[in-house]
Amino acid sequence: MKAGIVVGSVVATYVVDGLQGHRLLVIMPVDENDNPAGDIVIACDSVGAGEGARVVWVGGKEAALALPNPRLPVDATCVAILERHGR
Amino acid sequence: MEICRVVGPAPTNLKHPALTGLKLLLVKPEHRPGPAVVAWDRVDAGPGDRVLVMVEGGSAMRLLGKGPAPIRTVIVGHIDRVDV
Repeated sequence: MKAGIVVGSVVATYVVDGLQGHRLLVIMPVDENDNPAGDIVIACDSVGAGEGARVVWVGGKEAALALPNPRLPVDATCVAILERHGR
Repeated sequence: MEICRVVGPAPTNLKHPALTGLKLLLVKPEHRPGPAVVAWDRVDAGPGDRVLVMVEGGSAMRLLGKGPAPIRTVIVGHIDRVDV
């Protein structure tokens, strides 16, 4: 699980079956000082994170397990909103 | 997932049996440097389209539905808009 900041969202209406209606967030991975730490990822939202929120996101096969249908083709999901971060 | 731009088709004349009949496209990541990669197209994308690309083997195999298969990268969405 990694920390990141939500910097935007993606709108995609034509998607594979099951992915319709899922919010897609643009997440900038950050280090403990909120400095960018890697390339941006597009993640499904499972917690209602808004733009600017510091979040926890999970990548890989575990990402789909955070969603109501764990068989969806998803490789990154936002799973928590951080209150404090590294301090 | 990643935002990518479709470069063009990735025609093949010899495929692993599990990949028979799959439409493959060359896609270039938009938000990081790096080479274009080959992805299985599930949304009828074409050259120049902006697409959502998923890179995870388990999900790709479930979509394919043929059990274990040598597949990992799938175009899962057609992007209308990115708000950053």
